[in-house]
Amino acid sequence: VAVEHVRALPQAGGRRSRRALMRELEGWLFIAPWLVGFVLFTAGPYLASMVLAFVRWDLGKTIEFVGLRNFAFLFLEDELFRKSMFNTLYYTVFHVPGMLVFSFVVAGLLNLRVRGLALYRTMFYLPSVTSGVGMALIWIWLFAPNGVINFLIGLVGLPGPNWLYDASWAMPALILMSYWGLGTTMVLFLAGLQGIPQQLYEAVEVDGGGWWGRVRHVTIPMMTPYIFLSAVLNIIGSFQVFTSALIMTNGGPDNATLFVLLHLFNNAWGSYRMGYASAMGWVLVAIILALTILQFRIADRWVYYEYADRS
Amino acid sequence: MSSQRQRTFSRRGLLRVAARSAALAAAAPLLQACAGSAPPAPTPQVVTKEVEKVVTQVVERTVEKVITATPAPQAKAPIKLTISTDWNIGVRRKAMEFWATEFKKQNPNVTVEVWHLGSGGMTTANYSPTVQTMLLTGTGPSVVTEMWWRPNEVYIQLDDFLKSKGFKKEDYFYSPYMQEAEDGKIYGVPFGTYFDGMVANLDIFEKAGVPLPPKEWTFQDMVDTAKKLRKDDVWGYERTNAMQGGWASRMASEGVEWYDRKELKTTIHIGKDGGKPQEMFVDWWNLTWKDGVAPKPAEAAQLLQIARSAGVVGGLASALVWVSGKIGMSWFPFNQAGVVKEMVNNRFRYKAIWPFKSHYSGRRGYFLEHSTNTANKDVGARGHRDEALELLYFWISDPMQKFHAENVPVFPAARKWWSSKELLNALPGMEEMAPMADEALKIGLYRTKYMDGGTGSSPNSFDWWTAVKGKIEDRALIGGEDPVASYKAAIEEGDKALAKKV
Repeated sequence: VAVEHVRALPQAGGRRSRRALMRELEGWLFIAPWLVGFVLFTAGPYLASMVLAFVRWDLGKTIEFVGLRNFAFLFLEDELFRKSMFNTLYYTVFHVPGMLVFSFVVAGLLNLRVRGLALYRTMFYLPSVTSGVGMALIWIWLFAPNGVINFLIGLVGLPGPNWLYDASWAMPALILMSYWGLGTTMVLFLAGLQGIPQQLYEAVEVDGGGWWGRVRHVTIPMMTPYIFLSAVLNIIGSFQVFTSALIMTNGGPDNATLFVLLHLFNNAWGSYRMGYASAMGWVLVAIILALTILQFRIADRWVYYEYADRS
Repeated sequence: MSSQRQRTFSRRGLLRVAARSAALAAAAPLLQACAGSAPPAPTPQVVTKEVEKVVTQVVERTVEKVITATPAPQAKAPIKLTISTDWNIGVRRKAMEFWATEFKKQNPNVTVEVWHLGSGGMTTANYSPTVQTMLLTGTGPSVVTEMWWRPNEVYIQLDDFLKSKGFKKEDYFYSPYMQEAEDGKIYGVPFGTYFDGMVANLDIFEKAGVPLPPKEWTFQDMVDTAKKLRKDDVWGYERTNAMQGGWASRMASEGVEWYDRKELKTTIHIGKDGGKPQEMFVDWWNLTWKDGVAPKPAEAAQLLQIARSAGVVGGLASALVWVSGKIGMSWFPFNQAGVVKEMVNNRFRYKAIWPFKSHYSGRRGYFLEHSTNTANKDVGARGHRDEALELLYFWISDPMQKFHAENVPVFPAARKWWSSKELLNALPGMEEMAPMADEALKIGLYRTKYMDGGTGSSPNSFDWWTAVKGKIEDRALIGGEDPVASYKAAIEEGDKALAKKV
């Protein structure tokens, strides 16, 4: 019987049964909505923008092939692109570390066994699922010259800045606001903290280690994969800031909060330079890709993967 | 799949169906006979008489109908037209509903669907890209409202149609820089009357015992009046940071143009007939940052808080501090007079007053905005060209203009409604509006001359405006930085933006 079965196998592999075909068809049907959506609304525009990056197309007018001229203008002549890149990096440098630290601290607090834990977790996560526009409108009110933030600053006898209307303070305002959306990173960290085996902490205690010893030798090393993932995601997110800048400052005052994506949008829908905006989009993709690859290269030096060691 | 279909309708299949039908037809009398209880068949004579009677009646009635009846009108095929708008709330939403329903009353075969797109206060951010994408992909609305984007190949040229309607430009708040292409052909009908005037809070004037300013008064008179109105919690004047009713109007009084498109040079510092734009700008800046006649941005924010507490909402609220009821004089956006009325909500009385004259040029300054409604060229291919043009024209026809006069979602575009009793009933205190609009059209500074979509504007107009606004508004008027340095920086940055060759 065994021999017959073995002989039958190649036949089954060569001519797929009707049932197997139906199963395969079912699979395709199930993913079809996503697949169609992806091809039409993601891959299609990606490819189209790749072509547009090499043309001049002022919306509604004729298309003209310009080779690399869009890219040359972007790097050599467009001062606003440089300004927007500086603003984006400025934001990234303060947003990402701050986000990681605050999320880590909040996750640590929410990992404690206290009453009303579920409520606290919900409260901290809520801003992450709130509409970006709604959030921006609330923060406009909070940052108003006579808003809540300046009221609190006034309580300690300091004059509050004119946050969103002052070229020096608008970017710090947006960075401060960004910390409010720490929910996603916090949840990631919380999951990581809850996965650290208790016996590792006990081992530190046996060795005479205190609170700092536990954090330094157990928590942080065990959390490095989560910190790494969060850093990658937050850096990508920093290069995609758009809604808050559009709604709260519209890139102002005097381009102080002009992010790359907003500059791209302004070129596409303000000046109708679709080709140039597409080129900018691909440069942005390249920058994000390069930064992500760099992070993965460096990750080998500081990220500790428990499972990798076991293998 | 197609081969399966072919097999289904093969010759053999058809023959089989035909054979079955023939068999059924043959079987029918047999089946009837098998029924058994059928009534006895009538005799041939009775049948003949009955048939004769019926045929005679039918013939008589038909002949009678043919002789007496007038030819029945041929029913028009049902048509659906669409309008895009970002008028999504309040009286403006009602205006759109009125447009659709009234047009349907006059054209029963046409159903008008209004597409409310965008947020209502952020046209550039969402309404425009949505409509532009629709237009370019052939899915655009039949009639597009308030779109500044003007590649003319997308819209229907209206010259012949408007001529057939007896349309005269001078009867409307019309701008060649908005309604027309560079060759002078018309592509849009005027949307409303857009210019900024001045407004006085009558309660504050009465309480202070100060008479309303006369028609002939100057900037310096305004400053003196503002000082008289100033009390602890009341400001005499609102010096807005925005272009409308603000720095653009001041430049207008000095006779400037935005820029020279050929030379690629910003010209906001070049006055005409005695106008001194830069000096005027400094005087304007001084009102808040030196003289203290008008509230600074932080103080204005506090007043806005008062307005919000009184229930004032909407994007315009942040641009009109005077709706707080704590400012004696300010600017007045005539195009949004109805919206302003809703915001004030009878908390105080106000009246439009003549803007002051420049103490340099002796002229008033008006900032003119124009907007337009256009018809999508695709309606031709859809077979609805004529109906779409009628729908477009309906906006500036009497029923719609009367609605505008009575409800003021926008000041009516048609001149004959500017001083109408309907409008003055809706907005008491607007008696001077009509002569003001006339003057504004003669001497005002057209926004559409610089911005994209306006005839003759630079392709870099968006960059130019961003650069100039950054220095004039953000740095100087809001930030309080040196007005002369900011003004010079605005010219420099504006020139760079104009010279950009992407």
